Amino acid sequence: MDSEEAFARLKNEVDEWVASIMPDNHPKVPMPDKGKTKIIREAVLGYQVLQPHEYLVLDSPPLQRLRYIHQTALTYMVYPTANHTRFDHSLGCVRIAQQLGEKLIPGDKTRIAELRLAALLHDVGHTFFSHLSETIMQSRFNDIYTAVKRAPQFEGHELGLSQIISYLIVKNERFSNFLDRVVHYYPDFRTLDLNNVAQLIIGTPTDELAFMGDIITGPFDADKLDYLVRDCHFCGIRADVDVERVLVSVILLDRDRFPSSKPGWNKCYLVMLSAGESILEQVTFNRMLLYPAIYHHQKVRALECMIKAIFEIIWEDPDKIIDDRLKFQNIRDFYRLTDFEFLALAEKEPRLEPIVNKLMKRDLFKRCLVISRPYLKSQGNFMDLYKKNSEDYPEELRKIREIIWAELPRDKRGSIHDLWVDIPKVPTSIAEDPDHAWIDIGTKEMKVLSEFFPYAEWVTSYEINKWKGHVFSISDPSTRRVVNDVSKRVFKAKPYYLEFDEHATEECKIPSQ
Amino acid sequence: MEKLEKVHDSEEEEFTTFEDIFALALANSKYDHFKADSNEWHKVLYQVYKEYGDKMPQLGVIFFKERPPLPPQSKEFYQLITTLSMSGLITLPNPSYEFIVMEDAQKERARKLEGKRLAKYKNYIRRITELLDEQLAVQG
Repeated sequence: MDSEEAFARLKNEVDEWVASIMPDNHPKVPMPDKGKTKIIREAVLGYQVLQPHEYLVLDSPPLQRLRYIHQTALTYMVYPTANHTRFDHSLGCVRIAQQLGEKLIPGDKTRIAELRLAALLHDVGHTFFSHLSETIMQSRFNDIYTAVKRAPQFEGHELGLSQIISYLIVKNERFSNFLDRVVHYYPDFRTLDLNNVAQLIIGTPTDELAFMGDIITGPFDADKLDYLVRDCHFCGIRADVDVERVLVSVILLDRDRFPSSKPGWNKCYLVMLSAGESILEQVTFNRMLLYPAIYHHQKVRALECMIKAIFEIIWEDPDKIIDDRLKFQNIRDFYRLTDFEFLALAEKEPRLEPIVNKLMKRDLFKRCLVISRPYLKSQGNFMDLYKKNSEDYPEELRKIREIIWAELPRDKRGSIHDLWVDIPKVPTSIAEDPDHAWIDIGTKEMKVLSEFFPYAEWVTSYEINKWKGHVFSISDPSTRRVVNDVSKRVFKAKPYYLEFDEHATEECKIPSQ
Repeated sequence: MEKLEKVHDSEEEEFTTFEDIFALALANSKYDHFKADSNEWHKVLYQVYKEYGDKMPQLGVIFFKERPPLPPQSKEFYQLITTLSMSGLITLPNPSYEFIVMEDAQKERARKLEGKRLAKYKNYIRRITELLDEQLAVQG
């Protein structure tokens, strides 16, 4: 599929979906008077004052559905208070984007309003279970995703499917007409450029406004500053980020500080004063700490495998799924449902009910083998396994699952959907961002954060000791023991030649007979 | 286990990634210490991509972000370093993390793993080794 065709197809799907949830004349209510602001109070960042056009956008159907999409998918099954949503997060981003805007371009109401609107809309393309379903979509519709990423509109950016869809929603004719009506109705915001808002969601509007891109999608953007604080807060993890300090220390780049001989230099980036450098270190380290604590927590990964299992069952034979909304034959179908709608519908499907029931009752998949560098007696060809991460190569991992499954004794074989090999992908952006974050230490030339500390190498060393993959199965102890035994034999054979020590099994805490 | 071996034999050549290519290119170098400087690596990665991105499909997945005045940046660089380190094929001696080291035993392992399945790219890989030697190897 070429990029033009993929773009047209995806755009068409987005257009159909927007048309299905939003009437052409939205909003039907009369426009509120100028200056009639609304105040929202939320748990993490406190009071928010929204302008009329902003709460009209917030009240639109594409935004309202974010109330029902959990920020960290099913993590609330592990951390009971992790019930925060993409809606809360979007509001948090608005506040941080505003604060960064006020610091950098004080008095520029138009640009600050663009930043606020872009922050409000940046996650509108998320669907149920947030990044989990995004990964599933990207993998299932990989031909479209791979091709659309190469479209001229997205050139130079590496975008996730949700980000691309956020952009397409904002550019959708019906939605952009609505934005035009509600934003430009108010004289104070008539100069607000909606193209800039759309561009900010995927990168940078112009070279001169590169700092605005940094605020929305940069190495230390409003998104990260909000989700780090928010995820820690709602998971009850004591790893905070001093956002206020970031705001105090951030400046706009003085272009004269870069040697003019450097080719291609015409951008205006966001820069951190040296006093704020340690806060960016804090952001980097906390991001890394959150992976083992939340995103790569073994129970979270087991839950994700259960959701992936549901999709495997659906796509194995879609004709046997009664409710059309659960067939997910195209990307648009993902946008029809929210978290609870998906679970509620899936629970009614005979083929899905057993696994959904287990998930709801928290009878989760359990560990049978822990795959970790320190637990390897012989590292054999570890790379061949490690590089087949669950996010990018689910089909490769499925082959390994099939082999383990086929080696199980018949009475323990059950369903292939109950057996998972999970290889979490290492988040490379944690190491990458410090290479993109400018620090002003008062010398002739700017430095990047990674010159202060070897982040990439540090992250690597950290991952060597902390990263864990797993083999999961149903919770029955005798099944887990057998899966443990067979998995070890499979990984010991060609092509992996891996030998595990006793910790790889002990950590699974499989009850003895 | 026979099944596993058969599956793998048939796919041995299919499932290779850009990490495999760089593992072999490093293993074929006469040097064992390489600079760990990310900007230097990005430059080499970009050059390799420009020269061989359309000849070796494994390199086609590498994506570069423009952020002048820095050289084009790729997150695949970080993935490469992590993957090779996790696999024990390179080491990053701390606390300075100044060098990427591939010792003889690691080179031998990499050659054993990758030599056969990347055989058809040997001429390209030889050139990548030359680039690594010229721009990243620490001599002496």
